[in-house]
Amino acid sequence: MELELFDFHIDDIQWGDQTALVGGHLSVSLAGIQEQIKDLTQNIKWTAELARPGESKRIVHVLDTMIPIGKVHDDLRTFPGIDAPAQLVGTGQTERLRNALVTVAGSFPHPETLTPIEKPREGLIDMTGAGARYSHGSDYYHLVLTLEGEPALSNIAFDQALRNIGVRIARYLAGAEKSGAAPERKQINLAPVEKKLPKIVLIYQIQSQIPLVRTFYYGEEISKTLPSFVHPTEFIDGAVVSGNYKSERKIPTSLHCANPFIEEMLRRHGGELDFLGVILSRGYNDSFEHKKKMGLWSARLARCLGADGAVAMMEGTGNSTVDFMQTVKACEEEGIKTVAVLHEDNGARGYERPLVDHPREADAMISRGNRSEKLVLAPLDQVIGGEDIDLHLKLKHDPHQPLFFDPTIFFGAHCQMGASGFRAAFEN
Amino acid sequence: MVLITCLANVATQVGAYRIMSGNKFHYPVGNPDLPAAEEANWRAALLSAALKILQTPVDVPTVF
Amino acid sequence: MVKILHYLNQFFAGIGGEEKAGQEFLFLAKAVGPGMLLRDLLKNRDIEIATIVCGDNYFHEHEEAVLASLAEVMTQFAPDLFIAGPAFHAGRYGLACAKTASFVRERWGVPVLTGLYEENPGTREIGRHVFAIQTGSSAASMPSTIKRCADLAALLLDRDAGRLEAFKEEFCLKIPRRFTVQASAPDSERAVDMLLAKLRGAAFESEIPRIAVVPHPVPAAIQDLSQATLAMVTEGGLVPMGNPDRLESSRGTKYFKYSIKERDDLKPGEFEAMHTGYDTSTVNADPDRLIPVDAMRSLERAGHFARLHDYYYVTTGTGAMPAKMQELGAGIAEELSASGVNGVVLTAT
Repeated sequence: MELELFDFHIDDIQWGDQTALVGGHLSVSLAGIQEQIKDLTQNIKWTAELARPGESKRIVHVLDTMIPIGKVHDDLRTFPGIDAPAQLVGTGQTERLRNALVTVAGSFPHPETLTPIEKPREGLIDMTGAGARYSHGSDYYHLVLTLEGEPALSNIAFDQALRNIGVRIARYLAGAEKSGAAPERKQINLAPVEKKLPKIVLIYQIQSQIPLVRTFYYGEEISKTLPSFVHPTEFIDGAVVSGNYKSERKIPTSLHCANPFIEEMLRRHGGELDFLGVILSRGYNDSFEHKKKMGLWSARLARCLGADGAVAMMEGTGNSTVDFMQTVKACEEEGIKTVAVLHEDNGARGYERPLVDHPREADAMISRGNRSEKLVLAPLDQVIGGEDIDLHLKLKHDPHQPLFFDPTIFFGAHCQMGASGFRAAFEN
Repeated sequence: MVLITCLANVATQVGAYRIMSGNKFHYPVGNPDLPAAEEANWRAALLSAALKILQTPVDVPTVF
Repeated sequence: MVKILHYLNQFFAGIGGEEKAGQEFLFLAKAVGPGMLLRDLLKNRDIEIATIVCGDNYFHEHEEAVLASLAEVMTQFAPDLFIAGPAFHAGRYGLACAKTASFVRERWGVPVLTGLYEENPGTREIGRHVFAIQTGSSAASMPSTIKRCADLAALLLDRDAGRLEAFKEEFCLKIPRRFTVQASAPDSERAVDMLLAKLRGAAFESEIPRIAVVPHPVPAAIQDLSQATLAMVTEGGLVPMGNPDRLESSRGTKYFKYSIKERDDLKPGEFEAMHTGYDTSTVNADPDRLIPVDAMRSLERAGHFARLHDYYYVTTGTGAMPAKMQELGAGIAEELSASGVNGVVLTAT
């Protein structure tokens, strides 16, 4: 399986008469957007704005971000199963506007009918300042679509619509007319390696539980499935899509498609390691026995693939740490050496035990930093996406006022803390 | 005290001594798949076992 | 000119002893008590010292209001340095010093220092970048301790990083805590590096240590259950419908008790679960699935135990810090013990 990937890098985004990429300049036609999503927005009021790295802009109520990704040939579709029938992806030619995002922000029409666990959590993207290093997307160019569901729409219908809107616009921008732009070109494959190199898998544990807390594979929600093998090129083509609004702990769709762990292993494939591929697994299982079994099944799949070692990472926190650690334990017991990546909850003053669950077998940990340490966040000049900041269902905060809060207020914070190179360490 | 939870392994790490596995994460002493009368009996049996644990000496965190 | 803000309790401010521990928050535009020694030691600099005074009891009973008043003073006086205490072995004072110093540092970023005896409970509230000078247990060592505070103040005002490190190493308490720092590469790169090292059999250092919990004494088993009073407790957030006391749905900061007197079971529509950490719909459909009143009542009637306590206790876990939960647990235990309860069934989600 091989994918030819064309990555375009933009250096500006502006409104224009046409949607087109000229050199590094992406112009977006508002009328074009309108035309694309008119059948999806019948009960949705929407506005569109732009945001660029370094601007003094704070995007609030972020629900998901998508990189513009399209197949070069029109008869195929990226993001299979979303707003289009599913087809196999991961081969042929794909083009991306690598540093652009379609950012969907907004509010559900009926938040009062959601049980506490279903309620979306706040997710900010600060394009500059102290918060930028904690926000996924602060170094991208954004087309922000702020959606407001009208009372006639149910929460479930709004959830489906926002995903379809995001993906449709992502494909639309990826397919923009391009001129004077030379993309970076890569062949992505897991070609057999000549020398004897350690065989490595990536164990990728996602969160998918109930409506509004879901992850999709080819458009099907992944809550009743077994751990599965997924090829890295499928991720690039959007086979895994997020419908999870636990904003600080989620893996945004853009990170499913351009995942640093997958990219790192592809980079080193054939050089220092033999990358076998990804094991897609699921946490938040609802009994200890089920958590243990997901661990056993992931380890068994890794062993059958011939893995010598695994890097494990997870989406989520809390009780899902148990599923994650059961996976690490099971792999180690199968002789598969494992490194696990996790954030820490050391408390605001650093005294607390870092992890919810930490068995003996998890002896090779990579830290993403202390996510309970408070930050002083100055207000930014412009707020996009809403009127207030929701402090995790407890209070509303005026986004034009300084905010004293921990990183969990930021969109994709767990992933971004890792990507920014944060870790926790002892200090006196 | 007897702690009824589905995360017994975490309970041992935070120092609880008498730990009992509950049903599912979302309903530790519930069994909604059963008809109401049977569920009530099931729950009474579970709590009866919990009471026995309160009478059992332990030295270290123990999952019953 | 450099401005220093100094926090003192009622005793060191010369207001009174234990009988004045209810002293309200007070701002004085001058140095007071040990602050005068400090001012003299720093007399070769152009220093202005102001003092805030608060009674040890007053601080703990009105912590939020005191910190709000402190915030106002910080905004108006805008000091370059904040000093709390030193508190030596005084527990309530030490906690207040640690909390005020940490509050100032976290929000304003100005250098802060305090002084504590190593066993002072305030050592569990020292925030990041707060210098905590190690003192003796007795205030008789005030002159030498204040001298040390003045030396540290000078280094902080001069921003002498090298000498600050040396000072900290020699004179400050060692309170290891975990904070976010910058690593040399993103997590993805470090993870693959660590795995390759592990596979080679090369040495590597795990970035997150396993931390053991200090065990508490094992509670004795109940000898005669037929004489015992039992109570139910949960962190599953079950409250009367409408959540009259506004229990949070995550990271509970309080616990509540609700009556189950004469109830044989809990009915749907009368109770609801406030909790973001689990799917509450099944418990809402029958709250006995979290607080098993029906089962416990039938076991009580059958004589398995003497009495089911009239109240159940509740807070919300999920995302909560262990230290806070420990505090709430201790509070619940105290109330239950005082009510004659011998054993508890605790249900967790």
